[in-house]
Amino acid sequence: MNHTTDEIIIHKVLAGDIPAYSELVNRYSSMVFTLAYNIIINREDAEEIAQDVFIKAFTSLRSYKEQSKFATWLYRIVVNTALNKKKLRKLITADITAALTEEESADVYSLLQYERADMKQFVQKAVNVLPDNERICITMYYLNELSVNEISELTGITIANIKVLLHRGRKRLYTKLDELLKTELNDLK
Amino acid sequence: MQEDKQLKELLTKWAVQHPSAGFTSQVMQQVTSAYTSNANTPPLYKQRLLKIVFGLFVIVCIVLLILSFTTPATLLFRFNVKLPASYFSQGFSFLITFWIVMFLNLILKKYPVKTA
Repeated sequence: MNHTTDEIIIHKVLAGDIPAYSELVNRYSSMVFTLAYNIIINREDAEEIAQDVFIKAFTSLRSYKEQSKFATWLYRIVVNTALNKKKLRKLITADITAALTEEESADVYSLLQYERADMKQFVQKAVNVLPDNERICITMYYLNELSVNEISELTGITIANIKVLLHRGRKRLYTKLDELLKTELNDLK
Repeated sequence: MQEDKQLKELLTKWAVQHPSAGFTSQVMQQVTSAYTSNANTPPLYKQRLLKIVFGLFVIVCIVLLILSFTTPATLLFRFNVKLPASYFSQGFSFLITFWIVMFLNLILKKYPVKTA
């Protein structure tokens, strides 16, 4: 449904209805900002990148091919702009092939039991401590709802490596979150 | 699969970051100014004009080629101006300087010099 609506808005904008573009900005601003933030880990830079992304997308809207989703096209601009800002050509993918270690870690079910007002702070803290490539893959997969193939296309990381990064990222995220919440509970006691 | 769903739910609920309050209006301001500046700038040349000039050039070439086969070679005028030898060296230096400047310009455009 979103997909068709995006297309309609794009046609409107291309026909000269510029205010219609604000609908797209409203719809994707949080996701674009979240992705930019998780690549760059700085709010001011992420906001600047997000602005650049929407302006770039507007100026090159005619080049958008409707075979792919507008969101995927937009996220490609985010990745390129953010990497450019970071002065990187592509994501660093070293050390991915090392064997996975099956450590004892918490699972998502136990974490969902915590209903705390400051949960946002904990989750963001846990996400921020993930290594760059794991954090970016987790963000793209779970928040930007991109498929493993799309992530591979956007980042240049192979599909197999993305699966490894997602697996590791999940484990690390659960462990870190569990650790943070347990520490907090112990402090309260 | 279920675990994936739960994690997605957790992250969507807690890990989404939001830009500052005036983000959309700031973007729209820049978008509008980009659109108006683009709309007010007349193109340096019209694409159609370029096609017409190129088409004319091709037609003239073909006509001249046909004429050269059908009519005997006669010169319409005789170009017989004697130029001093220094003109050639000046012309040559001009061409060299021109192309050096052109290449420098291209290089500087590609790799702009950063000023502090």
